[in-house]
Amino acid sequence: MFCKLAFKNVRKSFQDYTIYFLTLTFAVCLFYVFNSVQSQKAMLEISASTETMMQMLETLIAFFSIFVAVVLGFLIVYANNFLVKRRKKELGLYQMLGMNRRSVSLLLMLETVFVGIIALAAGLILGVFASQGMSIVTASLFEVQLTRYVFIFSPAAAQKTLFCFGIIFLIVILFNFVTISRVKLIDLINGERQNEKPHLRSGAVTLLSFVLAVLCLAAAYFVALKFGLLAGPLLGIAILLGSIGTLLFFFSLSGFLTRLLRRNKRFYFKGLNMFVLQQINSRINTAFVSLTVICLMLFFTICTLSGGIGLANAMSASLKANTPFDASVSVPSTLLSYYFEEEDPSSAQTKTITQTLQDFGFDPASYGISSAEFTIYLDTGSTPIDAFLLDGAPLTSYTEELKNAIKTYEPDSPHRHFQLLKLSDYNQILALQGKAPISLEEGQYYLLGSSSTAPTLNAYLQNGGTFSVNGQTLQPANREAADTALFTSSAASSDGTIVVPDTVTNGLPAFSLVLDMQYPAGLSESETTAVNAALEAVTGNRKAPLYGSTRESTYDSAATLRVTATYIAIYLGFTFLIAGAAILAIQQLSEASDNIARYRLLRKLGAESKLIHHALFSQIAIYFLCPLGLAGFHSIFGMQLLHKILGALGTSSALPYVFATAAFVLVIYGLYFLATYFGCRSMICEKRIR
Amino acid sequence: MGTILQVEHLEKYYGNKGNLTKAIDDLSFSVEQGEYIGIMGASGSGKTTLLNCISTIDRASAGHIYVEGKDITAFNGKKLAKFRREELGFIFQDFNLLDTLNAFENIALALTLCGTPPKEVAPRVQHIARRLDILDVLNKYPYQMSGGQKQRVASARAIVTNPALVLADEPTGALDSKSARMLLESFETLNRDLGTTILMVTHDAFTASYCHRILFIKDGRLFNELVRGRDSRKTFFNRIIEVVALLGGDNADVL
Repeated sequence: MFCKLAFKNVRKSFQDYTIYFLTLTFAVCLFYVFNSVQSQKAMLEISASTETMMQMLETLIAFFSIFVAVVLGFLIVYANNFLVKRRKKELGLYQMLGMNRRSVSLLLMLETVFVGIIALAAGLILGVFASQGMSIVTASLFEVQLTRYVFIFSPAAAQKTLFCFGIIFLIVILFNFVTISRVKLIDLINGERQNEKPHLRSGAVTLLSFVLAVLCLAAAYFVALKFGLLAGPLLGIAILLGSIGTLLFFFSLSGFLTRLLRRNKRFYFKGLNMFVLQQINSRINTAFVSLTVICLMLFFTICTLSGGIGLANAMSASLKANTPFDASVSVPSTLLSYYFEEEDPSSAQTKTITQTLQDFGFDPASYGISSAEFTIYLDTGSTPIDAFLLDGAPLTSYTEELKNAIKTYEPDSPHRHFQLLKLSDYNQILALQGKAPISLEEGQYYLLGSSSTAPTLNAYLQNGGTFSVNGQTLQPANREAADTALFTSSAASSDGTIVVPDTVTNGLPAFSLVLDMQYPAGLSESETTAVNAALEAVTGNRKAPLYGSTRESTYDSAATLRVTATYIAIYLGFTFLIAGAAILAIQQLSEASDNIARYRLLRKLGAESKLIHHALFSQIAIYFLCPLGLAGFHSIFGMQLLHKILGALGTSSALPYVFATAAFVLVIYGLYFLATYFGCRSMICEKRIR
Repeated sequence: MGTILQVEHLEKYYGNKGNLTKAIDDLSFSVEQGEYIGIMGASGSGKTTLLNCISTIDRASAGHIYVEGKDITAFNGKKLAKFRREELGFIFQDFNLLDTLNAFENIALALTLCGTPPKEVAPRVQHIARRLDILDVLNKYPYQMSGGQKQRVASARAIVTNPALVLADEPTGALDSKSARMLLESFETLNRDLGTTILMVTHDAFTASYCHRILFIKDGRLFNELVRGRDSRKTFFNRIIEVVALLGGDNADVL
């Protein structure tokens, strides 16, 4: 009997809160799919390096899963509390009929267990099938082939899902116990009648909080725009200000609008406008907190999705330009002592990188590799980049961007100096890339830059900017900074480099040594891999004073970054999006069922169905659009910040990803909105009068 | 004086073939313009069903109801909604005010639904509020008002659109005796001064004694009819009590 009652109750609430159960199922599915990434390798042709990447990805996902579980936990506990609150009268009735509190708690527990089992089972089944499709996505992101079809089931992921959601449902049961044991019977019976007292806050309070909200938001936007990433602790304050501003905004919005629109008799006394407006106003006292949370969640979703995917693609877009050589070996400044007399980088060089490679058993010549070896110099006495760039007046509009780029590269050093390269070395590099050499006159320099810094540098060059180094003043030889990569690396290697006549660097200390290698033409993929393996055996040796990077490994690590960023972005973004939308939907649905009597009255007063549906639509639309609108507005500024970060990494444009994200968010959010609207509509039409 | 409401051979059945309940069984009567008519009967006599049929909330099984000559049983959808908002005014036992709106807005809602030009809304609400002596509560919300005030606000909402017929369903059911008396007196004023036609359903003899004519319904049929004529309210009240006793007495016979 007990079980039957619980089961019937679950079935009844399934009908009313389909959206909640679907969200629950979907959440379980999402959780399983992302945690089962590791097991998907069964289907893929995977190299050893990709395998370590997948392990890394799994660790990251496991880490973020904790975060996701917490968010989903909040959603489920919140939604459950909402549903229990709505059933106060029913629970009171059970007690009136003689059921004791323990039994009622037990009944609720049984219901939670039923719901949990159904959602977990459905979610896991859905997840197992979805993870099959996910393998295809993984394969394409890793740029590997799907070898064979294997039905994948990850027991580890399933276990983890069961464990996490089991705990969440346990918490729900605990919450229910507390709720039932603490309420009074009279409150349960009258639960339905306890309506919020609708009242408008005083005009002064409303106006003050609205003004305060606008000020807070403006300050937050200003900090984000003005200081960007440099803001440091200020950025935290900006986020805090933004959150407070959002809260105050929703706190005062409805009161502010009501006051404003009440004056406009034409609008206010038209159709059901008055009803809709007061309907929203009456709930805002409790709704403004959740609206704020949802708004921030949406903001987070938009930023994570477009930022993460933009980041992933920014890396791969510039990848080709950054990897002109099959392999590059470099010696960073910390290891230079090995190569110089008296271990002093300004003294004579005693050893070349090629010799070191030979010492450790890798002879480039034996593989038929053509190479170019050069030295990069640094003049710490020369004008630092930032001061140098601030020098030219017309640069002011760009300097912020470049300064950010510089700080991103070397966050610790306050100033960065231009790297210097001998003309002969530069021509050697060009030759190895199959490009024509350049020539310089005495007293000239040739500037290199990347796509992200080019605008700033070009403006300086075109203003005839001079440069002092090693006691000489040089004139620019080119009017546009050349984008020539100096070695193979995941980031642009040419940024802030100046090519000077060979004599200029006399007496300057070496900053680093580099060896670029081009493998012989016609090498097959497996042969290239073999050469790389031989090279990596040397560069990976802790005793060798070298640092190596091959085109292959660069591509591989870029793929890892792409997959990781994309997956984490989708995982987090999705979670926040569905959590936010589901909270809104549940609120609206329960509100609609509270309001059945009101809509029935409207019908009795002679409001047509069309008018009532329209009122309902606008009411729900306003609730859904407010947080989305503000989140969108926040995002404009958040994007600017993101753009700066991505710009530093050398992306062309993040705009397509912003649009793709916007479309994606709108579709999911729109689906929730429509489902809510039709759910509410069928609810208020249920007790129909002709 | 024309006929506002005419009910002809009205029937309303519930249930199916095996178990048929006749809530209203061949009922006919008519209401003239400016009348103040009461419908009395015990619980389950069919008076609420009758009211639901007249107010088009429920559909009759057979028979016709004419309001100002139009057969409302033939209406559907949009026409019904239009009829309800333009020709009828409702007063409910539990007030049915929207708790999100203040008194002024509750009254104005009936007007805005009819598409009244926004400029006219405020003066008309003010006018009717003065009549019902609720000017001082116009800015209050339902939870700030007493039962009697709420019911007068509901009455104002019912008549502000100048409906052909005001339907009142146990309007004093949730009021204390003092508030009930005040409300009934305002009904009387409205009926006398504005010529509002009122059809009131009640089972309270005191409330009914304010009417001009009373129809008694029993088991879905017309049982008796009383016309106040020139009687004082007290006399009329005693006559009503007699009929009510008779209604109850009939039950006693069965027992």
